[in-house]
Amino acid sequence: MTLKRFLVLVSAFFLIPTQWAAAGEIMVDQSWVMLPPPNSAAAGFMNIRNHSDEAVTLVGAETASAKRIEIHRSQISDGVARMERLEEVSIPAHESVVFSPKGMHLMLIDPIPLNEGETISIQLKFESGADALVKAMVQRRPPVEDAGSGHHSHH
Amino acid sequence: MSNKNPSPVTGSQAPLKKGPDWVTWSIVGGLLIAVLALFVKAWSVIPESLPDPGEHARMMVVPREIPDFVLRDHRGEAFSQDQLKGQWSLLFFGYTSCPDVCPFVLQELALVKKAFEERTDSEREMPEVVFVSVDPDRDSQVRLSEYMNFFDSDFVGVSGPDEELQILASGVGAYYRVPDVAEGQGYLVDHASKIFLVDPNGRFLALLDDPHDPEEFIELLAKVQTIGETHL
Repeated sequence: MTLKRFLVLVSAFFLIPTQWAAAGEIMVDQSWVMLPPPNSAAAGFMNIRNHSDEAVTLVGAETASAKRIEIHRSQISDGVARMERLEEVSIPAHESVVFSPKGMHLMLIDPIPLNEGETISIQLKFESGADALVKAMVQRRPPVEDAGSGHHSHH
Repeated sequence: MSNKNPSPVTGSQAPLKKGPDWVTWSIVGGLLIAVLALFVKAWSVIPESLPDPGEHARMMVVPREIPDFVLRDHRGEAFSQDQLKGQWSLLFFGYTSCPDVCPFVLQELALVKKAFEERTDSEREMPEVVFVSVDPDRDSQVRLSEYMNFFDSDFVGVSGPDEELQILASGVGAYYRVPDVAEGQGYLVDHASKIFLVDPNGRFLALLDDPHDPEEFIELLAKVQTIGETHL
């Protein structure tokens, strides 16, 4: 897709750690992977924006950079952090879902050694059969706007 | 001059010559001052009089002595309540297989340490960061060592038998739960998300939110430390 190529090129040119992926009208940005400690799982974060008129459901993800990927959600309540595995995440029409530290994340299990600053590819899988390719830079800390916690949806 | 209002001291035997009003009033006045003094004294020991450190910290009304425990640090040295004395410490409970919250908070604390090091005018020092692994079955000394060094070589990782972990955790009121699962399976541990500030006397003083912004955290820390030093 020319537009996607163009956007990727533009963000690369300005060194913006944002990559766009388009699967129909699903857009992904603010994607990054937290540099994991040695022999540890890595957490991946992003915003998934659904610009279509129908809800879409994320059911999984794959990458060549890790053995497998699970969808997890950390929840902090009453001063206790709990984590649970999610089978799927639904993104309502014209809304977005934020994957960010202390909220939802992709858990990259048994990743290959990752280096700060490198970019890896993650294929998001949706219930409809659609895929979205996400490029995520490996970073120690989040992009500045993404420092918040939890997840929320907005139009 | 009639004496309709004799003071309790002089009673009905009060001399007629001089009105005793000044005696009454000095006693009443004295009592008032005494009551006032009591109030002032009481006020100074009422816990609510602690200055408010803001929404990101909760001070203990009475600092909690941490009971005796013995764990082992990532260098293989014994780690007991003695290691919590002599400097301020920040305790965080977690486990190294924690993919999200633990590395994120330790990374934030590493940034706070960097911010401290860049300050030339700071009277305060970076407290010692102690990561308490509540998952001793998976977090060996070697594992803790590589984990701590990834964040900062000065950070201390400690763990040990569950009974000892319980003493420390319940000493500061930190909740954790490791599920019963078959060996070799991945599992997720529930753990306290806050940071526990321990003063140089080894007393648990305050519960802090994790640092979103290093500079704000440094200010919060200084505020809480000052309250602790002057009031507790």
